Amino acid sequence: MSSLIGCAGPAVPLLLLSFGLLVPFRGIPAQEEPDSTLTTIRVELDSLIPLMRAGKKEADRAEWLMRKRAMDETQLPVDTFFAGPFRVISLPEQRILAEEVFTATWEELRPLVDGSEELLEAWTFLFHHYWSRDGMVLEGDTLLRRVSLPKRYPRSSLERSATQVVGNVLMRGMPQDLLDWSGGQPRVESRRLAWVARELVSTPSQAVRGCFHGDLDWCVEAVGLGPEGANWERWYTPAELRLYVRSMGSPLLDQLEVIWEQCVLAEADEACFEYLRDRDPVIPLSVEARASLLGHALWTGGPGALGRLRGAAREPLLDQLTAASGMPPDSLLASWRTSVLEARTSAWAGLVRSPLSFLLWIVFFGALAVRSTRWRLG
Amino acid sequence: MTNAIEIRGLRWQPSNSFAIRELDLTVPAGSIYGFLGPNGSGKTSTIRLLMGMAKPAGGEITILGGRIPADLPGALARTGYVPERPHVYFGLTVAEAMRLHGAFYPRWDGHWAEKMRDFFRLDPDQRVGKLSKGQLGKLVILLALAQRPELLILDEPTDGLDPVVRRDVLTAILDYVSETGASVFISSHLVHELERFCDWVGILDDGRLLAEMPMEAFKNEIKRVRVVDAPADTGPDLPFQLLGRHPSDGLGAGEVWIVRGWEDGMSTFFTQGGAAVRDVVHLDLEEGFVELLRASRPGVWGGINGTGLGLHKGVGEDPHVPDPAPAGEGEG
Amino acid sequence: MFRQMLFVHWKGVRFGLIPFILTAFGLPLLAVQGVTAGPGSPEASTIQAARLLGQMQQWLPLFPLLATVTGVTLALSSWAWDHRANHVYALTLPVARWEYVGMKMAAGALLLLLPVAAFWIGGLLATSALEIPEGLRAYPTAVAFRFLLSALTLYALLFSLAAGTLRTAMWILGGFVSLAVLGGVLPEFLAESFFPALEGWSFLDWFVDAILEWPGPFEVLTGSWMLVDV
Repeated sequence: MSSLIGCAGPAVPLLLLSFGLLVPFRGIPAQEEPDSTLTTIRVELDSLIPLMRAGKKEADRAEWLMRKRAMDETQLPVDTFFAGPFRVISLPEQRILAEEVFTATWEELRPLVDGSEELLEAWTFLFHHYWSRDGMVLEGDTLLRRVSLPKRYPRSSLERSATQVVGNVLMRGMPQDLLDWSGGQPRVESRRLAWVARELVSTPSQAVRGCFHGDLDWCVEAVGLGPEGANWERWYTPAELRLYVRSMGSPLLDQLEVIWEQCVLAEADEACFEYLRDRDPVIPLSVEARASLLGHALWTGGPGALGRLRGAAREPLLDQLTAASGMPPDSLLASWRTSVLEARTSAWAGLVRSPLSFLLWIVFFGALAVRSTRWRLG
Repeated sequence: MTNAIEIRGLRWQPSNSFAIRELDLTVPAGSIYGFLGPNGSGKTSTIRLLMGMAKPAGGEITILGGRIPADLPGALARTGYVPERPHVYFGLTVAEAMRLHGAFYPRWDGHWAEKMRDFFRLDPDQRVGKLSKGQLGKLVILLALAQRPELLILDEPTDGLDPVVRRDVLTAILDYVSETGASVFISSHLVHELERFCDWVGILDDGRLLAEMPMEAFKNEIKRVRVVDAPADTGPDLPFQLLGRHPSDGLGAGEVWIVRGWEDGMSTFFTQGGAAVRDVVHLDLEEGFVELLRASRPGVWGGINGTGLGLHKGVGEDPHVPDPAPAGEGEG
Repeated sequence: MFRQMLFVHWKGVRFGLIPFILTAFGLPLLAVQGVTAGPGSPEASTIQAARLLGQMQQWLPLFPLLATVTGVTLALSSWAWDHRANHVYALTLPVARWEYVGMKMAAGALLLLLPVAAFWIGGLLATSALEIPEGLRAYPTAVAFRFLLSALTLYALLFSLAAGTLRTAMWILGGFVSLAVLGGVLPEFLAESFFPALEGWSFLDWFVDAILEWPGPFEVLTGSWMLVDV
């Protein structure tokens, strides 16, 4: 074991060093062939990524063993428990809190990975609510995904923190282009869907408007997965583009400023297109909405959804989502749209049950007033 | 119902420095009961307990046959109350205060109230907060009387009023009583005022009732007996009622006894025991009041033998104020 | 009897209440200020929806704040005259304590309907002046109802506190501060020494959750106050 640690310990810096030195030793590309040289370098770099990942894995394992050895030597008492596929280490006095936090987090995540739990990396988490008296020993860990917050932070913050780190496990297995597109962890909470509903109504984009009206082709465009790819003109009308340009504010460069003014003030559509030409089109619906679509695909896909998603990693994004959901694109988008619209919160929400507790509180406060010190004989 | 108010064994201690201890008091129905006592003696506290504003530590209070606090609302509905300090909401006008008050009392006589308001010359649109002290006193009396109570509880109702207003207020009260036969429980430290119209009197000092008797008895039957070599233990066979005794005040040797039911020839009670009666003096209400207080607090009510001057405000709070009262009327 | 109580209550609080009535009427109108023009084209409708939602978000905190301040002010002024007279008048009235307190509380609650009605009418006017963009709905009645419940709850709480003496109020406040301080220290000590289950437990968090989540008294303050929403 010690030899393994001895070998793997310096592996990471060596790998990084070689990775950094690799580019200069590949030689200076000829000026007349910049594109092909860049492509070659990119391919070479890509080929090193698996090696780097393998090395990092070894380094992780080495650090884990170092931590374990340190704990064995100090006889530090720790409690270990499992939440789904995850192993959680905590100090004994924090065990109950840790278990509650991780169990809640796992229950939240479970619908998204139902039937595909084996695909999740069995990460080990180190739970610190705060640095306890033994914390200095555990603090040496850099490998373990630590959920630790200062003492003054409330439990809800701990749960958010745990959700974040556990959600990262789910994301690790997902295709990169899907992650880039969704911009974050998949979401299914109705509270977030309510925000998406507001987006669906108020985003100045003809694609979003069409989606709100039930045109599923527009829904595909609104989340940026249309067959024509990113397209300012298709997603936004000239008036909406003008609004978008206006929201970007007046540029500092004189030349751009003239175009900006032509677009915004003179309402010249061509100027707007010209102003946005060099910018990547902004997908009408936000990452929040897209993450909700990803979450919806996993959630509606039921058992094995995550496995099917990974299996379709080389497919276009929309196909990945439909593979996960097990539904054709139109059905997926229709059910997502329905769930978004259903998540709209009415202002009457909660008001139906409020009067019940309200009446009890009023009577309670009234009784307190009768029992006041002013009314000694009451 | 023979008694308007009955208090039995009342106990209350709001602070370490003051307590009402085992107070027994009876106000016969139809009587005007003068509740006398120096400032700080517990008159207002007793009235607060009567009105249910404070919870006694023990004892029983009955007002118009209703137990307090169990029957408080019913008893209060038949009781007119005038507090020591006006309690009416200052933001209301006179007319509004009358309307508010009338709404709570089933026997409120609005017509009579209006007549009273005219008699007292109170402007109905005047804000209560803008009324003079005299007008305020009249308004509070008006409110208490217009509810047509069977019992009036008046806590120093004329205190601080000028003589004209005082006369108006007392006239209104007496007219009402003569018209309805209501009982009145009136506290005051103005002895002469009560002497004119009360038919019962109770004297309170330091939370204890020193004496309670008909006014006539108080005025005619209280004597101050100066005794030389008075026996320490009087025994149970006194031929008269001993209300109090205290050392003589420097004008003569021996003790001063305040007695009720003294008759000629009773001096033999003392001479048989080796003592002697130096003189016997008849006391009026005020003199009797002062002597009783002096007897109840030996060492506190010191000074020259006499009555009256020590009863003004401040005496109760400051026991060192001298009591330069004139000598009592001698008895033949 | 109650009518007179109501009148006295009104007379006692009217000057304090009128500004709240005016504010409650004006606030919803101000909240939609600048977006009252009706949508023309589909783009304009969406843009107006975005502006409306954005503006609602900005004005959102003022509605519960107004409800709170209205309820608190009315409750504190309810007892002002009684405090001034040391409650002697109230205590000598021929009614049971609970009856007097009940009538006084009900009278205050009725008066509270004035700012609530003003808020409701203001909300109705504000939303009727708008051509609501497609996908959005106006909730003047729901928000006014929430305003009513919130103001009444705060009113009832402060009414009961104000009924007591200043000393009692200080005791309650002091007790709460002590609990908050102890609640910060004690669970940690107990968790380390005796009850590991208390690890991470915070009195303040618990308290805030307890009053702001159903069936806590102030849950009604935390719902949606959007006059116009999806």
